[in-house]
Parts: sequence; C-alpha cells; structure tokens
Amino acid sequence: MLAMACGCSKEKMDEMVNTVKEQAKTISESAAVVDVLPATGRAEVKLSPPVAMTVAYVRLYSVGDGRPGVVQFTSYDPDKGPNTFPALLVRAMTSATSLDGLAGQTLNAKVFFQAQSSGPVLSTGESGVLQATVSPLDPNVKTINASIAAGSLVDSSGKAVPFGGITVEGVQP
Amino acid sequence: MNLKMAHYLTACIVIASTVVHANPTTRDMTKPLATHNTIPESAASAAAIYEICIAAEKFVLQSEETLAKKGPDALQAKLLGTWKSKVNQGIRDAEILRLMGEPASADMLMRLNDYTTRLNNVIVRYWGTRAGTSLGHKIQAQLQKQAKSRDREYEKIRGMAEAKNFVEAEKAINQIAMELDEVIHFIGPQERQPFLVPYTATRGMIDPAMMQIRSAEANQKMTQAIDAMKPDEAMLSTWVDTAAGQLRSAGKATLEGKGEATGPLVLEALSEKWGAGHAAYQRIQGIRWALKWHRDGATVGYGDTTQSESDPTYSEASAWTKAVLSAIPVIIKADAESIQPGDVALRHQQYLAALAKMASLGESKAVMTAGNDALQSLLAKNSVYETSIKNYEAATRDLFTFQSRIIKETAAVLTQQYGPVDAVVREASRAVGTNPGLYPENPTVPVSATLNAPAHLTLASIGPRIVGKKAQVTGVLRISPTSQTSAVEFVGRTYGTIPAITLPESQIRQLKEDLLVDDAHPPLTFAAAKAIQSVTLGNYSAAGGTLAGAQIEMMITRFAPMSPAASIIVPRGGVIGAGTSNSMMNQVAVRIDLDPAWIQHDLGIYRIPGK
Repeated sequence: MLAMACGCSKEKMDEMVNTVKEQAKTISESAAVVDVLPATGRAEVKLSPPVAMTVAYVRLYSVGDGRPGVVQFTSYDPDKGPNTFPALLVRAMTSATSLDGLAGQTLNAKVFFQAQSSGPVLSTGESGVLQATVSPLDPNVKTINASIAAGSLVDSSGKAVPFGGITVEGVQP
Repeated sequence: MNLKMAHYLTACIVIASTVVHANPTTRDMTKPLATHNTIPESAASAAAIYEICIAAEKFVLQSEETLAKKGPDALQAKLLGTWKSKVNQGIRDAEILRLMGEPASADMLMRLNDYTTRLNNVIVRYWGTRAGTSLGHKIQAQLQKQAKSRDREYEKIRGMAEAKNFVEAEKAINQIAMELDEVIHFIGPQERQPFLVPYTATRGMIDPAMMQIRSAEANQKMTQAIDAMKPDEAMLSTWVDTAAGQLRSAGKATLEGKGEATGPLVLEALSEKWGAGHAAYQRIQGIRWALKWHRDGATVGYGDTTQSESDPTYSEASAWTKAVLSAIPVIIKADAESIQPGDVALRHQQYLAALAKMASLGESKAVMTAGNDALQSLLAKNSVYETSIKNYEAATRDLFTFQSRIIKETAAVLTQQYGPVDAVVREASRAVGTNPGLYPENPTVPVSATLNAPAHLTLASIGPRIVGKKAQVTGVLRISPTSQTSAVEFVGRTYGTIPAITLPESQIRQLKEDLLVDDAHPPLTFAAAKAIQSVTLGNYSAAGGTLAGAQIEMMITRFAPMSPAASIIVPRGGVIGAGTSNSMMNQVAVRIDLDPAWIQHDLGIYRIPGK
C-alpha cells in the first residue's frame, strides 16, 4: 500500500514517507510508480455551490516500454478506486518521468467528477480535454498543484455543466 | 444492388445457411417456412407440399371470387374436385413431414385444412345448382357401378397390410383416396357412407402401422444425427494434454493442419474447438426438440424453465464449456514453464488478444478469470514486465470505472426509449381481434411465441406492427472482421442482424490514446484488450435503433441445421431453452433487422450521427 493515512504526526509521517520512497524506489527501478506523494491534500470543483474535498492524491504511472506516462490527481485513495464521494479524477498523459518533471507543465486532462455515489458523473466527454496547469513543487508546503480554469463539463446526456475552476493539491513526499 | 447490400445479403445467407427455403419476411411474406432436413428427403417433400399450398390458395381465392361475383353456376366442378383431392393428399404428406420432425408441417397443415374447409363451403354452394344436383346423381351412380371392383381392390390392399407390406398398401389406398376425393364431395354426407366405410376400414389397417414405421425411422435417423455430431470430451482432453505436454517441453505444440504453434495459437485452436462444440450443441438442441415431440407426442416438454438442469443439452453444453475453460490455464501454465524471460512480454500480449477474442463469444468473466489467473505464472518469469503490467492496470482502471458509470447512466435513459427487443417484439406480436399473433391478445400465463395461424398470415398481421418500433439489442457480434453485418444474440424468442458499425477513426484513436495503445504498444490488461478489440472489430455489448424488418422462423428449424458461423447468435456456454412450451413443433423465433441509432462498447456509448 503506497498511499498514506491522514492525521499522523510529522515524525510518523516522515517515517512513512521514507518507507514509501524506499518502496517506490525498489518498484521503479525499471518502470513502476516513479514517484508517489502522500495524501493530505485537498481539491475543489467550483460548481454552484462549490464542492470541496479534504484529501487529494497524485500519482505518476510509467509503464516503461515507450508509452507516455499517466498522471492522475484523485480525491480518493488510488489503491481503492473512486469509491468515496465526492470523487474527482484529473487524468493526463505526460512525457515527464517524475513529479518534479511535471512542474510548470500544462497538460491536456480528462476530468471525471461524481459528487455522490448515486449521482451523475460529470466529465470532459468522449474526446474533450481541459488544460490543467501544474504549479512548481513547493518544498515548504510539499504540494503539487493542478489547476483548471473555468470551463464546462458534460453530464451523461451531453449537457454542459459550467464550473468556475478546479484545483487539486497533492502533497509531496 | 450496391456492394453494401450485396455484403449484407451474403451475411444474411450465412445466418440462414443450410436451410432450403428462406422463411417469410416483411420484405416477402409469401416465402414458405424453411426445413431443417435432418431427414434429407424432407426438403423435397416440403417444397412439393408448399407448391400445392400456393396453387391451392390461388384456386380457393379464385373460386370464392367467382362464387361472390358470378354465383355458384359459374364454378368449375371438375377443378373443385381436383383441388379437393390435391389438398387432401397434401394434408397426408404434411402429416408425414411432421413425423420427420419438420415444424413447417404445422404451417402447411393449418393452410391446407383451411383450404379444404373453404373448398367444402364452395362445393356445398355448387350442390344447390341444377348442374350440381345432376352431377351428384351421376357420381353416385358411377360409384355404385364401381363398387364391386373397388371392393376387390380393398380386399387386395388388406391382403398387403396383413402381409405387412404397408408401403405398397399405402400407395394403393392413397390412389383410391385421390380418386374418391375428386368426386365424393359432390354427393351428400349420407349418400357417401357406403363408399367411405370400406375405405376407412382399409385405411385403418395401414395408417397406424405406417406411422409407427415412420416414427421409428425418423427416431433412428435423428438419433444417429445427434450421435454423429456430439462433441467428444475425451478427445478434447487428450488434445489438451498433448498440446500442453509439447508446450511444456519445447515451447511449441504441433497442431493438426496448422503445424507448429505457440501457446496463444494453441489457445486459438482451443477456441475453435469450443466453437465447433457449441455449434454442435445448438443443432443437437434443435434436433432433440424435434425428437422429443416425436417420442412423447405433443404434450410433453422440458417444462417451463429456460436453460435448467432438466434440459439435457444445456447440461452437456455446459460440461463442454467447462472442459474448455479448464483447459485455458493448463495451456498457459504449461507454456509458462518453458518460456524465457525475454519472451514473456510478447507472449503475454498475444494471450490477452486471444483471450479477449474468446471472451467476446461467451462466458466472458469465466474466460477472463481462467486466463488472468494462469497468466500470473507467465508474468512471474519476468518481474520487470510484471511491474509494468501493474502500473498499466493502475493507470487505466479508474478510467474504466468512471466510463462504466457514465454508460450505466446513459443506458438507463436510453432504455426508456429503446425497450429490450424481445419484449418489444412480444408486445407487437400479440393477436389483435381476428388478426393472428404469436402471443394471445390477453395472456393470462407466460407463453412462448407460437404459430397459431399460417406463417405468412401471421407475419402480415404482426410485421407492420414490429417494423418501425424502437428497440435495443444485446450481444452484437460482427459475422467476420470484414463483414458488413453483425449478428444480434438470441434472447427469449428473438435474434437478428444489424449493419456493422465502426466508430469514427478519431474516436478509436482517442480510446487507444486513453489506454496508452498504438501499433507498437498493445493493451496490457484483459479489460483494455477486450475494449480495444471490441471497437476495432465492431463487437458491441448493446445497440439500439429502429426495427427495420422481421422474419418468422420455426425454433426447431432455426437450431437443428445451424451452421458454425450462425451459432454466434447464442453466446458460447449455453443453449436456448424450451421456455414455457410443451411442444417445440409449433414454436417460433422472430429474426429482426435493426437500423441502429447507437452502439455501446466497453468505454462508452456512440450515437450514430443523423439517427
């Protein structure tokens, strides 16, 4: 299990982060998860009213055989899947091989957002993307941020649902 | 005819292969019902009887019209007698066809019995004419004159029957029947009796014996046909063991007719064997329906369950599928034993493609589970590649989860507009007043589609009500990768065809991109392999649109002669059950043509522009 639980002491957190780093290093010798950030971040989808999420994760996946990497910002534990709500996924292809390498990039992201388990899924649609700007890693705050400017998602019928912006903050290890 | 239509028709012929007639369709309702020809002479017999039906129908209509417009004096007595005789011989021939397990006989008997009744009605009107009365007296005198020589003939025929020469006796009594039928209806019921009594008595010595002879013969031929096509599980087991042994020791297996093959090719060959066995069980089911009617009469069936344990074909088909599914890990694990780490990636990807193809034909989850578990032994040989797979899986899993939720939402909305095709067809196929249907107007108990009136009249009644309705179908499989037509799986009493739909290139490209796939980078999970294969081959889990055509077929005839290509209409692993029917001899399947408005694949629902 690579994801971190919340509410830990700083020491405990650092210890866990180090453990994760070691695990990630082992796994990523050839491909693997090249970098992992523990989840104490947050996310917000500025719908009317805005929906705030108190945890957020980010992971960069690299298959390692020449395919692009995939970065996923999630409001849920990525090991457990989008089964806690609100559930947000911001997913983009990237040539970056580490989370550091993502900093400053603008990614074409697919977005999925489901506020409630029985509620509708809003998304960027079949071939739509939104531009997500990744802010440089801040070593003090230990977060990596993705922000998407105001735009619109679509529901399953194709109807546009405007929003005022999406921000996701994942915590750096 | 344009190329697309030509392809479409070719594909339709594949679906309808091995049947002699084409069945009545909304495009041509006059087409007669097909035969299954498990007993080869049945096709020629059916063709001859239908010829009588068609010509008799024409004559009856003409006679009724003459009667209505010109009165009974204008009727042609000789022709009325000739047709009465031909129709009654047709009825006798249709009864024989029924003993051959041909359900088209039900249609023929309904038609011919109707014609004979209507001819009687016309003839009765002729009696009342001066010419009719005169003819009646003349015929009665003639029959009396012939009585002694006729008695000698009956004597001779009874002798044949006593000597158990029933075939010759039947020929002779039929000859008398035809001669009598030409004239006897022109005299009154009381006056007929002296001439009918010796005939009936003689006939009674022949018919039960001939029925027994024909039953036994048909029983034997159908049983032989089943035995000849029954898949051999022991042979499959030996084949699997041999191939697995060769893979284990040399990394390749020698397949008959295919030469040396790697594990994934062995899996493809296994899939072919699965398909051949599956096709055989569809045929066996059809023949057993005919045979069961034959053995037990029209009152005993398999009960009111679909695909239950009480259906022997279902149990056998399940066992065959179980044997195939259990062979999947045997092959993969044997291959894994001899594989070099450097070969794991390519071999794994080839296995995924082969498994995805197998899964599209039936038992998707079971194929996936059997394959995935076994593939772990292959992946264990290359930990770097194994890690890549885990990352690929993690990088694509949530996409599938969200897309499947969107599909579910969209499908729920579409279902309100596009009902399940079997329910839509069922609703449109009820009888309405005097218009015949496959289902009662107000059914009080569940019933299966039944031929209650001649097929062409039934289709004339229900066809216009089916065409134009919106419906959704499941299990859409392209007949071949280049075919312009896809088959729609059999559900309830409905199946069909749909023009092959391919997603726009841009959408396929986008889906591949989402799944990190291009020509040099194949999908790395079963789910991704299945999703990509679905959109590139044009196989879809569902589709919706407008019903553009319908065809009536008899259930037995749909299944008993089914070609391997057509057997894709039933997902592998099962057979269609008898449903609520007691006798399958009059049970009907409706084949529909769907003009699609949307299709559903593993990652979305595509709406066809302009629909």
